[in-house]
Amino acid sequence: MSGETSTIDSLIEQKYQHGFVTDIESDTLPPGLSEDVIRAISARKKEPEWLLEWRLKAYTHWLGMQQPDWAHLNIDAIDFQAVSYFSAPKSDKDRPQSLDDVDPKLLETYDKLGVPLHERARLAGVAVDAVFDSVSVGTTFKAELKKAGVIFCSFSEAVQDHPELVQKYLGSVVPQRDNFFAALNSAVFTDGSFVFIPKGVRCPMELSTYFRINAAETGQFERTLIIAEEGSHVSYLEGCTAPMRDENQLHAAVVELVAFDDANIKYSTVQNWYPGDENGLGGIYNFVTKRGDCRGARSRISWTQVETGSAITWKYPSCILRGDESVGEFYSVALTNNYQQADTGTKMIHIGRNTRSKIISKGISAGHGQNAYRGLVRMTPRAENARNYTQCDSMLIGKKCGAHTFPYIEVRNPSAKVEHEATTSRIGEDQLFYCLQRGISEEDAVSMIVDGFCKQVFKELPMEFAVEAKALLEVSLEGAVG
Amino acid sequence: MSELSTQLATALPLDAGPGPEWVKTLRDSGAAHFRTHGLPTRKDEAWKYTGLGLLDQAEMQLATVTETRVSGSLNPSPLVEANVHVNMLNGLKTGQNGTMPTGLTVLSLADALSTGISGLQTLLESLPMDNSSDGFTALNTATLESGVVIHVAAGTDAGRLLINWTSEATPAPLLSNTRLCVFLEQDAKLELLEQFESSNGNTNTCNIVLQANLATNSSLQHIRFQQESKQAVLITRTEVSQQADSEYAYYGFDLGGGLVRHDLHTALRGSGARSCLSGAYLLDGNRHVDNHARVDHMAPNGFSDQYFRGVAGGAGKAVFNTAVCVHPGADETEARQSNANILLSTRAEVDTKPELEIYADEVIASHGATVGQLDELAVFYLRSRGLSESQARQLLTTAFCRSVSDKLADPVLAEVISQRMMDVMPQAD
Repeated sequence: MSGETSTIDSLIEQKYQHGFVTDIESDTLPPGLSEDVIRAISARKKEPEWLLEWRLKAYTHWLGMQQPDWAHLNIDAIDFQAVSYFSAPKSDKDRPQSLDDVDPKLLETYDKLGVPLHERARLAGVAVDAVFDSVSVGTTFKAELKKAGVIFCSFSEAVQDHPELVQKYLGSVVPQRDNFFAALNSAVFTDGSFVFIPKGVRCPMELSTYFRINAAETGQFERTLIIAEEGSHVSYLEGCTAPMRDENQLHAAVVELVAFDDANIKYSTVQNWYPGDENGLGGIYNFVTKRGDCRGARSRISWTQVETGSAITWKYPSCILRGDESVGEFYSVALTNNYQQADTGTKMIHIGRNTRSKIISKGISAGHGQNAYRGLVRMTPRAENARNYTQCDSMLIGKKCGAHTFPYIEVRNPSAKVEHEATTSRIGEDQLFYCLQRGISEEDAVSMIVDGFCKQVFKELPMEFAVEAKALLEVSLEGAVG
Repeated sequence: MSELSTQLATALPLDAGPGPEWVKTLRDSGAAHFRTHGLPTRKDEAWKYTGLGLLDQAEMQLATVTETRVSGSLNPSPLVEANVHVNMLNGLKTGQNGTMPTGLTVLSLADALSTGISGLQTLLESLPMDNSSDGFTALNTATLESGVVIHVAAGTDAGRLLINWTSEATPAPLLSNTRLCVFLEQDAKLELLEQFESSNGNTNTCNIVLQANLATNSSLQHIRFQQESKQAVLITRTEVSQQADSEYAYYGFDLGGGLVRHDLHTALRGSGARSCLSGAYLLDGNRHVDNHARVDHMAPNGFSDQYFRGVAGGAGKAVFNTAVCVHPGADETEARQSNANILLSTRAEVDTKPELEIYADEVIASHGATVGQLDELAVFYLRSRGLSESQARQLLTTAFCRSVSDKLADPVLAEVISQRMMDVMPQAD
């Protein structure tokens, strides 16, 4: 053990070798992945022994796994030894207790990215758990939430303060060996959010986390766990933006949701990681495993996502509809411009009786973008009277992009009903002409048509997010027409 | 590789057989591919839902052209009359009758290979063998000898040609490999009716590859009706290459077979080509039917329509995979896909995957897929008119499948096939 400690110490003491872009001091592990790195992360976060063992087990699984190649993506080989698996702001010891205490330089960076945190928090009554790189640096509205009995904190805090809950639910929806990227995340996850809504509580406000990647050559591996006990209700918002970088960065997150009887979880994401430049240089590689488990009867999990960023998106937020009469929903807008590639969709696994699921997916491709919907609807033999409705529409803008649909439908119950429909279309010249002759500029016309195309999904987003999502689409589509 | 793959690889002849050099090279490439990859497994994405269990059970033997030919026809009576009948037994051509219209040539593959038919080499060499999922194609190419070549001269309407396939039970189950080549010259027309039937007890496997080359403005109506025995294995691949303004219409009816797999692929290479693929599959018992249909739009102004209906009862498993790929430059393409399934039993299964891959923007493409039950209101309505519950259900299920047979141009054939479907329509549990 002493040998290991000295290795950890030497790793911790090692100076960060790669320059920063902002002046904030960070504590970053050197690139590379090994048992020692995992031990170093765990030690750095003062984790209990069981969690270290859990990480190491995941690492062992990961070593025996192959990176999946079935997605409709063209990815350069990823060198997992070139990634740094931990990066935290240096001022860790005297971590700010509230947003007022937060390093102003951090807040300045947020401001540059267009996220005036405290203003947004005050205006919208949103509690924000900000994650800058890997460590949570500020949490607001905690007291108010505490009064309601809601636990909303960073994952690291949860490990320290509520280890029994973390141990009970961690990996119960996405096991360590679930897939290549989930195993990687399980081994090296650094932080994320933890939410626990006790029985019968309706969370008094919408919870939100902004994830950021700041330091170059670091991977972001966050882990989010949301548990909604019987009859509880929570809406969780997640936004992602990243500063420009010209190298590819790795992001492999895992989100686990657990909903008990009559519980309701709404999970909304606006993902705007750096997509790379117009020549396809740089951008985030985004490999995310998101899964919700409707364990209880009449429980409901709803995923809404607006994916405009990342060079590569590999993401399938799913629902396991275990409880009778449980409901799963997936609303998605995915936009690929320039050389972005997205392979995204959902899985709805119907196990309980009278379960229902709804999938609305809108894909927009522009430039050289490649956009694929990949989904699975499975009706197991027990899923009496289960029902699914899927609609996935694609829009193409330009001649060099691609839109693809790969829906898997597996039905093993004669009382189940599955409907899937999909269309592919383009912005019609007659539509554009109509708008132009009414005095609307071409850009505004395109944005209006795209907005109409995505309306079904936007209306599922909380208002603040819907506005942001709409603006993001407009920005992302700049230069796509003409 | 599985035990069966190894067994078959060993049984492949070591010398490349008779015929010109290019044929030998082709057989060698097939054999090499098969020895490397063997038969496909469920690890291959295209075979995800289809295992070869039924095939594995048997002490399979590779059929060779030196089999003793049976005198007289064992083939069942044809569904309808045709200008020319070609009889096939255990994958070998045993006879041919009827009046050959001027401009229609029908040869055995062996004869065509030795005499040399223009375009045959190009056609045979064009068959893609890309990966491990193409094991059956590789096996077919490795043993390329038995088959039929059909040629329709420019401007000829050759009418209906029936290929009557049957299998006879053999002491050890047989795996036969057959190749059909169809050439339609400019403005030519042909109706190709394939009828597959075998008696109970037949446990043979037929591995058939059909390649068709459709020249400008030609038209091929391809009807495939199969009611094989419940133990029979039928693996077929259809590859169609379409030039400008050509038309390919496919109507498939799967009423039998223990394990049936059909890969249907058409490539619209010329502007204005049209392709309409439709089919019905009816399953009961432990039968397994897997249809993979793919349309590649490679030129502008193409049109494709895929329309498939399935009914699964008993412990039947229906797999349906349909794909449309619109390549760059294939502007003004219109592509439609529709697949609906009725599941009648708690042990039955339907797996369907309607895929779209679009790389051009001036495109109208849509697809729809459903799995469900009969409309209970419709059942109630029919019962209120005096029909029993089972009669009502059978009527509605037949009507569901008739939407495919009603697409046939010949009402007599449509009626015969509808009746056959009604006779074997699976019942609800």
